[in-house]
Amino acid sequence: MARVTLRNISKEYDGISAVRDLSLEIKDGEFLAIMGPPGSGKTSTLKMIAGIESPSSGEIFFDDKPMERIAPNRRNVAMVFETYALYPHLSVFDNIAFPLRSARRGVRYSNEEINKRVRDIADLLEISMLLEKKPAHLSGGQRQRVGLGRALVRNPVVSLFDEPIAHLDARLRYRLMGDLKRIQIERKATILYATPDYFEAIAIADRVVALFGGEMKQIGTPMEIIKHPASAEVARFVGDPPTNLLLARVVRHDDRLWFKVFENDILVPNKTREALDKANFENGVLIGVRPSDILVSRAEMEAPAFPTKLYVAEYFHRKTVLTLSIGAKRIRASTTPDFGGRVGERIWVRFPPDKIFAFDPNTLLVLPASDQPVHRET
Amino acid sequence: MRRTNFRRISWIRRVAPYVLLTLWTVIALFPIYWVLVTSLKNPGDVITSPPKFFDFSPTLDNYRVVLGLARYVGLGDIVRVDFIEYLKNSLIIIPLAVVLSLALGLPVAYVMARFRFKGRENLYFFYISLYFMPPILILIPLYLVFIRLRLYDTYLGLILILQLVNLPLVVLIMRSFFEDISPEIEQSALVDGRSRLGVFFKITLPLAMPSLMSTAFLCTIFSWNNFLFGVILSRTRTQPVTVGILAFKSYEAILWGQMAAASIITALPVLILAIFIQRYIVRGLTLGAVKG
Amino acid sequence: MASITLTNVWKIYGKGQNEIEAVTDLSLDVRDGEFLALLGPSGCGKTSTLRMIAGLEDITRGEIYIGSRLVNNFHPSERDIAMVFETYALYQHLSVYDNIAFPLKVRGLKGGEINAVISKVAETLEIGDILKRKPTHLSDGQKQRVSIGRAIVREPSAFLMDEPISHLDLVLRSNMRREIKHLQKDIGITTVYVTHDQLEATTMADRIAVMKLGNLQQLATPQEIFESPTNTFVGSFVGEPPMNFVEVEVQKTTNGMVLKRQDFNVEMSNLAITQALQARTEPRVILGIRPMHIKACASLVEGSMPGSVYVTETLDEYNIITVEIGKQRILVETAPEFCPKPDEIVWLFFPEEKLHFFDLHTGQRICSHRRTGLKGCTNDNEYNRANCVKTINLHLREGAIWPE
Repeated sequence: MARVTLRNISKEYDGISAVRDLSLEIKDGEFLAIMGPPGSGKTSTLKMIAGIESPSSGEIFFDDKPMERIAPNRRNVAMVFETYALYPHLSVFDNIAFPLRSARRGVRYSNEEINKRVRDIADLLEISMLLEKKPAHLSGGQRQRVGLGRALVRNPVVSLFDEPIAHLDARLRYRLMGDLKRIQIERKATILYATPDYFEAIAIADRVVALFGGEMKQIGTPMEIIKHPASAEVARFVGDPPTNLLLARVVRHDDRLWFKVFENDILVPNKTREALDKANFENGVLIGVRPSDILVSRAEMEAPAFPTKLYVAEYFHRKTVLTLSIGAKRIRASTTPDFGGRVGERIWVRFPPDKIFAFDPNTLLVLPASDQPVHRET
Repeated sequence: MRRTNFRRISWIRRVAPYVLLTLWTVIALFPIYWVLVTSLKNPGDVITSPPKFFDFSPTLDNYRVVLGLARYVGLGDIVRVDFIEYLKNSLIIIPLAVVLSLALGLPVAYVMARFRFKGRENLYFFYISLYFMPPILILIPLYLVFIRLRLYDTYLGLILILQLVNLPLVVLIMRSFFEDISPEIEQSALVDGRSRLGVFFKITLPLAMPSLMSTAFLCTIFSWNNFLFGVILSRTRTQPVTVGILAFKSYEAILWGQMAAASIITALPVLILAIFIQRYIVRGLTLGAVKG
Repeated sequence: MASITLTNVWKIYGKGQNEIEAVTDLSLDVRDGEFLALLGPSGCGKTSTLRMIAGLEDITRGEIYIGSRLVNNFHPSERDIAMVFETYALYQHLSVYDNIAFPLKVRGLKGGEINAVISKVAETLEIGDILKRKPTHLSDGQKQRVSIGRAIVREPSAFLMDEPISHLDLVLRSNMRREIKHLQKDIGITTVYVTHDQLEATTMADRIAVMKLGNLQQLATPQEIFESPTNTFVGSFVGEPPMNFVEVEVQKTTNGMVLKRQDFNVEMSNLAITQALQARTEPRVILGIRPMHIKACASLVEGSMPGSVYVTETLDEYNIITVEIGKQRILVETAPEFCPKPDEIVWLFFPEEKLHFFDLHTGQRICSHRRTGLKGCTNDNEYNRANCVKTINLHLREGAIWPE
């Protein structure tokens, strides 16, 4: 197990920047999730740590040892590829056993040990009956599990997972998420887990890195990411449904600051006041409010509340998600599962002032940056 | 009434393609049939007019003479061809040439598929361009060069010049195949602990086998059938079998029957090879498309 | 607008020895204006059913009515339905406008009328600004909307959709789900929607027909399916996290009975259920309960059983705890504040009225508690925030029982 440090890592392909100035320290035995939309640089980052790709600039250290000159086969990392990358000419058993048989200096496994390890992992992943088959005869979900098995069968210094459970059915996803977390705790393994699904990231990670456009926008515990998003991108990515973002003007009267939202004035919370006072936001601010924080009612509510038209109501077992339209804009609110809702119905909506986030419309950073645990490590 | 007409028309439509195909097959296979038949005829039967297609008494004498098991008696024992020698020459030269092409061509194909470097496409085009040029253009200067380098009438000389035929094929086919293998499979093997060389031999080559076999087979066919280099760049010691067949034509007589028998014998090794390779290629193809 | 009725419909492929029953004796009805989802894993017959309704496949046995017309022998073009495919099936060489105008021209409408119809559709689907483009220059979401637009202009009696959004990425899929549902409610057109994604079916449909291997498992509203699945398949297929199933043995006790499996013990006192279970010859049953209905506490509570925490997953609105009781792994949903560490002991309480019982061999439902006047689930997470011991009695209610 090791500590992994990335310092000012950048990666370019043909002039296009995949990763920009990324600095990160992954603690020994930590489960770190790298969360971001497709194309945000997650896979590139993992490949650079594995040694398959070299950074265009910057350094990588395992426990303070620089990794520049060390080939992937000497780094003792395990990787699960998004594309599985199984060996087509080998059986499932041989695929999983491959890393154990690839002679590394000093480490040799006996046949019995290989047998036992492979079968144990196969049991865990429910693929024991497939051990003699070749990858061509497996379904997508089965192939994914073989890829997982190949990585789990070892005890590497760092394990890198690239969207490892994307193609599995719900039951298996839940089971494997739990199993992965458990294995990590038991082995005290250092794991990096890349996923575009925020759900997976916050469910099992100790800390989450939010990666957008190759840049790290935030790093923190799952709670911090959800409750205190450091940028509008993060806020928009997390949550089901995700945080609503709206452009609002800032007005001053009665010696106080207000957000003007849909002709309503909402008091600016104290923590945001300072930031707005200092800078000049003539063109408005981006405000964010989470669907679960919005208050909805069929009966008229007192100001600052405004009427909306129900675009569609969706029933989820533990909540109902309402898509509400105001003019050309749409916002989402979640409420009790028995709300019902007819298309076209009028619903009154109120944003509680203390649940509103404010973001700078240009940099997309949250306002104020002061008391938020935002990390932009350099 | 309309119904019956309809049925009859469709009956004709169904049969017509088969008739045409059969006709075409007959035309296409006729030369082979004729050679086979000629090889089984007595000298007298060979040149009859009108030609005899079926009604002759077959004999294996031609084969016996060609293989050196009997001696041709007649016409004063003028023509004597040591066919076995020619066959032996080809059986030595061609396999070695193919092995050399693979050994030289595979690394080139792999490097071109995996790495980017300046002039890569130019180099690739150079290999392909070797096929644009008719070899006969260079044969005279080549002849002179060979004499100077003492490669004339040697096995080594022919093996080397056959690379002109084989290498472009190897590079062309194998590069495209290597590109088709997802780099992530090799990356995965690296991460799993293999060295680059280990990855090449344990992962890349086994995956490339079917393609490799097909390529090797094609090279074998082209090399085996090559006539031009054999006829110009070799003489008494190293003439391949393609040239050997010509020996049955002399001033006095053309020994058609024996020439035909020699042709059939020449075709056999490659045919047998094809049967073996066939199975391998089909088996390998099922491994082919495992993407993702 | 029309209803669709299937009566004892069969679809059999092949002959004799090689017969495959894709759809077996299916009877269902789609009400006028209803959004019905055909839900099931691949190979369950949902697509075959849809294609039979459309007329793209022959009906081996049974009748299909669209409205009051028996359409078994009608050509697809005569059935007055419109189909939306996963692959859009747009005409690549025509602009968006011409694609949508196509069915109208076929019907003989004139330029002016066509224009009027298309403007209205473009407004509804928000594709007004791309009318001149060709399909190759459209995004996936746009292509799907054009595909739907082309189906709408025919003003059919019903829409048939075959997994139209399953290949799109997550964000786009969420958006398209909402748009399709909104559209369907806005226009009010009868829709049959095939999908393998239970989330799509739950959020979009008025009723869901769950199918497996050609057989209809349950036809009910999403709520009913969630609360009263008719068998273990439906219970496990719908709902995330998936339902917990435990094979238990019914044993008599002085007060009623207990359900046992090694360390797993649940006491039952409800008379009607007890009688129903004990009347059976097979003493073993499958107990089913949803993760959100199990109560978890940090300390002992009457009627609860201890388990060791295997792992805790923290989500934004709730946590999922995997608890090991003996060799059984149970998933429990709890409030976000309840976050035990691995290997800690927690106490699980299984409220009687949330238990489902299934036959061991067939997986069919035997009986369960059901609250009368079904309105919806209460927010059971409130329970976990409060003091477990005191509030336990509040959640035991008598209700009607449906022995089956």
